[in-house]
Amino acid sequence: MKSRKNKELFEGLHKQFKSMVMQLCLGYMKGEQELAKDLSQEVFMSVWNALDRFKAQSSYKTWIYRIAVNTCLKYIRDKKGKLNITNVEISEETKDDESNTTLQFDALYQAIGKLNEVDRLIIMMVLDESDYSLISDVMGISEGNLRVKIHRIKKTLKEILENEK
Amino acid sequence: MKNNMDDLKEMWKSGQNNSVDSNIPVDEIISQAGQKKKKVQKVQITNLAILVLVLIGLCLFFKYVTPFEQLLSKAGVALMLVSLSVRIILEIYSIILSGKVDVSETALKSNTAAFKYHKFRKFIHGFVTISILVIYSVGFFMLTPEFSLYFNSKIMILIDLSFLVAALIVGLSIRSAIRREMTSLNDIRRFNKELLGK
Repeated sequence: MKSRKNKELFEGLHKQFKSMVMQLCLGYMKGEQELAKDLSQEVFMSVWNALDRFKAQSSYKTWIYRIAVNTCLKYIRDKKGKLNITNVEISEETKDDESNTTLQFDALYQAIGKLNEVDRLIIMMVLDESDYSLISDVMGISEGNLRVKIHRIKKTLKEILENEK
Repeated sequence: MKNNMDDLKEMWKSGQNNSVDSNIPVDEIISQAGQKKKKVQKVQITNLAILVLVLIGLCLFFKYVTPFEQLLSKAGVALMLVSLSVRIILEIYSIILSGKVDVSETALKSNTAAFKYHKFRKFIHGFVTISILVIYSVGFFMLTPEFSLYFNSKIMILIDLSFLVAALIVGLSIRSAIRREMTSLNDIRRFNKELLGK
């Protein structure tokens, strides 16, 4: 039985990082809200189950990002053939009702969704203004390799966004 | 659509403040996490329990129901029991390996551990299970000469046929298990290639 202290810690982590995780999941799932909610829940279930293993060798943010990234990659593997991710269509009705910002978000999620899974996760951490040492610590690759990768991903994302204009 | 990186970062930050909430209470997440953990453990324990029960059942059957006397039959029994025991030991090792896949490690480390686990599962489902099935079958057919002293030919044919049907079912399940592991292995290999930029 986990202690009350663990539960309080988990509640704190959930409150602090749920938006960060949800947005990562939304981008990963190409803006599909239901799938993103499901994935976000999976991430926090993994956080709870791994809580006893937290060794304080990294910040909570790095640790949760690691769990989120690994859960996202595993989710695609586990649900292979069962997932039907389509790019969220922006209907005329939506265009009338929703703000311009919402449309821009959908377009951004769709653009991110056109990248491969790993690039998708990296660029979302960049957009979250995580520093390179954190991203490198999450992905397990050298900062040098990461810099090259990020440069390439930014270029690809820019091309995708320009083509969608 | 904004495409300047700084604008995108700003937009991303504002999106975090407005992003949809999963609306799932913390207590429910904790409860589901516990259920998920138990479900995984239940599957592992059930698989292992089935194998151990079959082994115990066979031991009791060969000791009390059909205590074989011929050397060929005894050798057959030994082949069957040893092959099943090897399968049980490998299943235990597989459970230990699955525990080493830590989602709180770096993506590269976690993926590498998952790759090792699925590669081992493929080895178990493929080479190991096929070899064990062959050894087990040889062991079984080594019993038939002594069996035939007690059963008439019709029952012997029935026993042999039912064994072949069981072997066919196991063969089909091996094929689907290998396909499943291959899919996971290919995905992990692809993720690691993307990570390392190869």
